[in-house]
Amino acid sequence: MPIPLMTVSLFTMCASLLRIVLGVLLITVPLPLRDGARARIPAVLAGLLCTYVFLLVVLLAPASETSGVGFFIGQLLTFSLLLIACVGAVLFVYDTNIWTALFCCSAGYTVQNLASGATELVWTLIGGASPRSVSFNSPERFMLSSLCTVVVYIAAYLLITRYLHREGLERIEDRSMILIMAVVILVIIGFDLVIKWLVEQGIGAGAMVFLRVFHGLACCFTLTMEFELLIRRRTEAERDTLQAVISQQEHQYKQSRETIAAVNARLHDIRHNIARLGAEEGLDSSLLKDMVREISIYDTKVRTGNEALDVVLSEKRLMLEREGITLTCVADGSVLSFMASADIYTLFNEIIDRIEPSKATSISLVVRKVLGSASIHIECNGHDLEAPWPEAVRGIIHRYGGTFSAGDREGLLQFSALFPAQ
Amino acid sequence: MYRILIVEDTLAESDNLRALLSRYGAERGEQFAVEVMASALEFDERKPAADLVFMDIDMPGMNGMQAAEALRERDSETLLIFVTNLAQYAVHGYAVDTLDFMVKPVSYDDFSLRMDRAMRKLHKRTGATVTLPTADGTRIINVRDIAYVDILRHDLYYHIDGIAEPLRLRGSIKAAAEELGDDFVRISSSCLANMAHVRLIRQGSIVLSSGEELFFSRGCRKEALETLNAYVGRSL
Repeated sequence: MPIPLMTVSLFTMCASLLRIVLGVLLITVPLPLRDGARARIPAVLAGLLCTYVFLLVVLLAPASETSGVGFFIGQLLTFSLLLIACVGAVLFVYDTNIWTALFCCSAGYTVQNLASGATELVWTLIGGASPRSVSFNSPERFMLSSLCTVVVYIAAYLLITRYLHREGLERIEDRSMILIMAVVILVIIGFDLVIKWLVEQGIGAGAMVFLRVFHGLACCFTLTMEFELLIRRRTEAERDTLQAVISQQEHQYKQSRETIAAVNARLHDIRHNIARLGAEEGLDSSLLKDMVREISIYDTKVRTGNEALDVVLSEKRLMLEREGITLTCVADGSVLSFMASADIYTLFNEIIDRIEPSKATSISLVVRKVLGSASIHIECNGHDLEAPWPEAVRGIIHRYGGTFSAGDREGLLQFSALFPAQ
Repeated sequence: MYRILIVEDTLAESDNLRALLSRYGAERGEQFAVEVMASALEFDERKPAADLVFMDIDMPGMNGMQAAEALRERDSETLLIFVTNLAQYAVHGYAVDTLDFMVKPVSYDDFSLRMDRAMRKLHKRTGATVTLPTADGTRIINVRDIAYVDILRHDLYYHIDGIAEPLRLRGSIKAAAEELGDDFVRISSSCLANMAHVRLIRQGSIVLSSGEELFFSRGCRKEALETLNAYVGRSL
């Protein structure tokens, strides 16, 4: 009577666990590590190995033969519980929540299963012999398995890990992750085990190739589904919200641009008329100078080298002036040329709107290139930071790869944003 | 004591600035030596030394912007704040590295907000030093000369401007970070960089004035960029 545990050497066991860990690692790469990660990682690896051994002993050892239903269910339970143990491991090592950990583990496990399925497929194709003759512990088999793993993992790195690195894997707050996990357990692990079971029952090589191709497709489909459901849906939802704000502001931007152009044209006429009056009527020039000075309050022209910034600052300056608040800006608008006009208008509108006119008295705004990066710095006195910054501010800054900080100290509100050089 | 220069052709405005400086000094415990010049021409001819210049823009003969351009040709350190009723010109003050501008008549709130920024910059110029007990003896190094510090097997390497070989001493990066202060940013678990030496900030790295490029580690990148952002904000 074969003892299943004996067919799996410690080396093979470690190798298969290592593949699962590496698969999960491909997905968790962008997550922030917890403090003391150096000590946590060996502890987690040891914990996973112990769990694996424990599951094999408890769930697989009692099975009378490797081709029985009991062994099949034991394997399904073993790998499902190991997947759940991986979720715990990710939570222990990375500073993240359970839904993100579920996402990483199910995706990582699917990648590992894809590599394992590819090994089986290639082994059958090049061997041509009955799959039953496979010796799971032969060096050739180990070499092929390692090669398939490397190829699949490199592909996963190029297609998934790099994408996650670029786009980030922020906290996922989606309970449908449990459903994804169930799909992975049933479809991916279950399907794989069913194929192995059928091989034990003496299935032909042709049928096995057919099933393996479908298993591979199921893995790819599950991975695609996970990314479609989670990352894309999440980013699209964020983008939709942000876009709605920007569209709304874009309309306002167009209106403001027209209003400001009209005010400036009228102001220009008034100045021209004053100058003409002075020349024609010979009026007291000091009186005329005073008049020009008086109307200069309405001179909304702010020319920074960026039209959207000019419009938003002109508009805000006029509004703040009415409330008795001074807004000064030393701004090189051209440094923001990499941003869309609607984004610039929305960003500055949202930031300045956070300042309550009843509290502030003076606002200083600086936009310039510093250390090769575009920098925005705003200070406002008599103000403190109460609520968090609107999502639109965060969204726009992050969209352009920027970072921002805001704080208040002794009644001085400071906001800084920096967009590093690409 | 900080040397303050007011370049202003209207007596009432320069008196107002004097009064604001006097009130600010009394409130913040600062002492100022204030000098007034009535024209930009005089400022350009005499080239007086000052820590901070309040410059009117609209002056007969040479205007304040031209005087500021001349100042920047010979000196990039002196802080400059425009005091003007020509706000539209002052917007371009970044071209002469002005801190900010104030619109006349200057109120105390407008003044103190900008003066706080100027004082933060002036205070930073006071150079701190560190004592480094190296194998060749104790060295006293000005903190601002240290470009970056990295660690290799419990040995800290201080890379210092003007010294070809880095200074080596035993220690931890954490202790070095505490000693060196707020102007240093953690680039990775083994490297601290002096932000005053940074010449370019990239998405994944910083380039120092020496041309060396230091790469952020994955764990430190976000925090390092935030620290750099705060530093840039402080130094504007």
